Amino acid sequence: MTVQLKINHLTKKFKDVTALDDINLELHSGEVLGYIGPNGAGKSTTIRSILGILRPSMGSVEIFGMDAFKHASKIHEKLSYVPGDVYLWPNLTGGQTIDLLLKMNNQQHTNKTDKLIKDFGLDITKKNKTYSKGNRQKVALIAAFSTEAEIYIFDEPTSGLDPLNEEVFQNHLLKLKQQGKSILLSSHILSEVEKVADRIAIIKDGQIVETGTLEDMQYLTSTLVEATTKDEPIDLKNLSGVNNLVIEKNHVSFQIDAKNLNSVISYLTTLEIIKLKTTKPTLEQIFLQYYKVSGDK
Amino acid sequence: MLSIFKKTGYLTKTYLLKDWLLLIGTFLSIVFLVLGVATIFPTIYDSESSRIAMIETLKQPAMKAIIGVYHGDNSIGSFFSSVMLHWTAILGIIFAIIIAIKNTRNQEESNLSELLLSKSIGRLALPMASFLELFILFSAIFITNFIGLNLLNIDGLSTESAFLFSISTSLIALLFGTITIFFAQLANSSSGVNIMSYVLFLLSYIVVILGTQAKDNKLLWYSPLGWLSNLSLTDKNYYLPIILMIVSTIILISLSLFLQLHRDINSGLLPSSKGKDHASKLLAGFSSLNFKNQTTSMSIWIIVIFIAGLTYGSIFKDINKIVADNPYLTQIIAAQKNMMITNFSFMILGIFAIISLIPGLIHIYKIKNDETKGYLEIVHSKRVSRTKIFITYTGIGLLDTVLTFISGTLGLYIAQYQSLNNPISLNHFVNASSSFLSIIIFVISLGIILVTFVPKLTNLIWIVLYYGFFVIYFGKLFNMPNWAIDISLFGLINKNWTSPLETTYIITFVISTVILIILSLQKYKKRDLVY
Repeated sequence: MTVQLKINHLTKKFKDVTALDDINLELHSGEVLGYIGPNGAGKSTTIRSILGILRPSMGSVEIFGMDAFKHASKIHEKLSYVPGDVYLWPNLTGGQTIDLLLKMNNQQHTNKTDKLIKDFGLDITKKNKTYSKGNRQKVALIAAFSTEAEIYIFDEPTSGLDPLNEEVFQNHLLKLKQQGKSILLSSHILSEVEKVADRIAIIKDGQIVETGTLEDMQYLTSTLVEATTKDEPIDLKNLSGVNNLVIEKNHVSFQIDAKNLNSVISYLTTLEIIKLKTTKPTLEQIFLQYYKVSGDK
Repeated sequence: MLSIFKKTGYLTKTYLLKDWLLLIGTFLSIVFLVLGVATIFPTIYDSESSRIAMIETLKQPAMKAIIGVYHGDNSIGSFFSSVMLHWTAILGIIFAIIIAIKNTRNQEESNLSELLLSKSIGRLALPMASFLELFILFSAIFITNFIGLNLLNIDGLSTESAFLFSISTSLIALLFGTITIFFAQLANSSSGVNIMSYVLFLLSYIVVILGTQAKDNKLLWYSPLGWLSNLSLTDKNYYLPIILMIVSTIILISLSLFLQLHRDINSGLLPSSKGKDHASKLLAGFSSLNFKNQTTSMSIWIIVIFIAGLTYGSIFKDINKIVADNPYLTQIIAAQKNMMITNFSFMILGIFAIISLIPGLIHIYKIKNDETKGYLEIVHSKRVSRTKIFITYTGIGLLDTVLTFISGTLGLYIAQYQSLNNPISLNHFVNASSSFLSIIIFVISLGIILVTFVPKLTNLIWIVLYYGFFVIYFGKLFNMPNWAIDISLFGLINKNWTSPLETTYIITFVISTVILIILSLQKYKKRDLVY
């Protein structure tokens, strides 16, 4: 797995506001990196720095070993991007726009393009200004997927799509992954990220607060445990790592950090377990937890 | 019935607050111009003898074509109203068109109208509030000008004349603003509304040019701008033009309201062509896309200015005729005959130079505006380099301006060649236009510097254009000092066919242009692309 994109200590300031604060991130070939964070956290600023639209205040972005700002147009020969808000020249049709976007990368309308148009079900003879948000997104997605590239960047690509088209999007994304392409997916739809992402980076207030696989994160965050034991587990409250403990006679529910799970289960075993259910946190729960925790700071 | 107008008052108030800077700017530029000139004129032309020569010039066909028909006597009041009538009206019309587009189709294109219509707001509140905004603005201008002119107590400008001057210049602006609201119902996009409004404006002007050359004033009735001349200010003081302006404004706003009810938001009533499913071979990339987007407006500007050139050129023979008809005048003017023709043509070329800067600068400023609208974000992710983006916008803008200017000059040349017995040689025209071109490209490079280095201040360039117009129009009338004329750039043009601009100036302008453009490109390559 080679590193296709590397962000080194990237800081971006707009006058007095620090939009990105010492960001480090890597994107490998054949992986999908989910990039999540609330509105205004710095997702789009990161992507714009990757695209060379913004000039880093400090640090650098390297793609294929080249500086993203200095060699932008060279890098973009092998990069494909779908913006979060797709604005297209109102007087062109969808078909013209797709062809034009391909031509800008010296590529052509191929059978693959036709297949994508069919898959997404887009009427390409309509003018861009008549399209809804979702349809404009389809135009950008079709152009992006039919572009031969090494890195694909999607900024909230499915926010205007219906569930059927969301699935079409995910299928094409997985195909790219199988071909060994690198994909950066910024999204609010966490179930989608959970489904397709190999690794996840969480950004908050311009800082990356966590990077890792979903399993890593689940390990770091607490697991919900529900158990019924023969004897009442009165000593649970003394064990470290136990939170939100509710004991109703011999039925108990609590949250436990993954690293303490073993000792707690051992204790429960001594009481004879009748029923045990552990639930891994969803990405959404992890996400909310990070935000609440850092929000309390 | 009233529900379709619901919240019109509230919306009008919002528009007034939202656009306050533009509205105050409009108000002040018009009021200062009218009252300022009315204050200064009597001091420059304090005696009748000092006025007579100038008034005789204004009565010549060439000048009539620019300022309209001279009415009244040699009093300062007649002199003032004849000189200022067209200028005040034109300024008002341009502002009215800008304001009217802003709150109609521009607002629809940014989806703001949709948001507004989702509120408890009447369907017709939107166009009605746009109209009321203009109505309130121009009423304020009318009242201020009227009171001001009366207080200044100008000799020869009766209260009635001052009233007619103030109300007609405001009403004509309101009328063109209403025409713009009307076009907003028809055109397919805001740029379509823009083109239609300005083309109609220029066509009205062309009719005035022709109308002022005719023996009677019949032709002038066919152009709203011609109605101004038909007021016969300070002489007969006719009211019919005022009534025509009011009636046509009422008809047009009613039609607009009716059409607004029968169209969808963000679409016009004119049919749009069926879309193509593929990009043609010609649409091959970023540059060709920009060129394609610009072709319609570019062709329209080129054609309209060519017609204007032809029209002005055809007046050249009348300059000769007047001289021939009147033996007394012949004696005085014969010596100056060629002088008058050259003076006139330099004036027209100057006006063409400034007009042709408009489409070019608008295109160059799209490097900022398209970015703000988000069209460029996806382009930046392609292998289109910043250099290419920069060269595309500036190159097409420059081309647009240069072609427009050459087209106007060509029209002027052809028409005078047809109408004069001893036409001015092509050589002379090439000489003069290359001088103007060096100034034009320099102004373009100033625009480029603004948009790359201080994009917030891009509008400053319009002051350069406005001041240039002002100097060409009024430089002589106001006895402006030489330095004030020279800094307008266009004032550097010496009214001499063989050397309109010294070669050293031309070379300086060209070299500065190249340097400024290179500097801008370097900056554009390095800056953040967020405005």
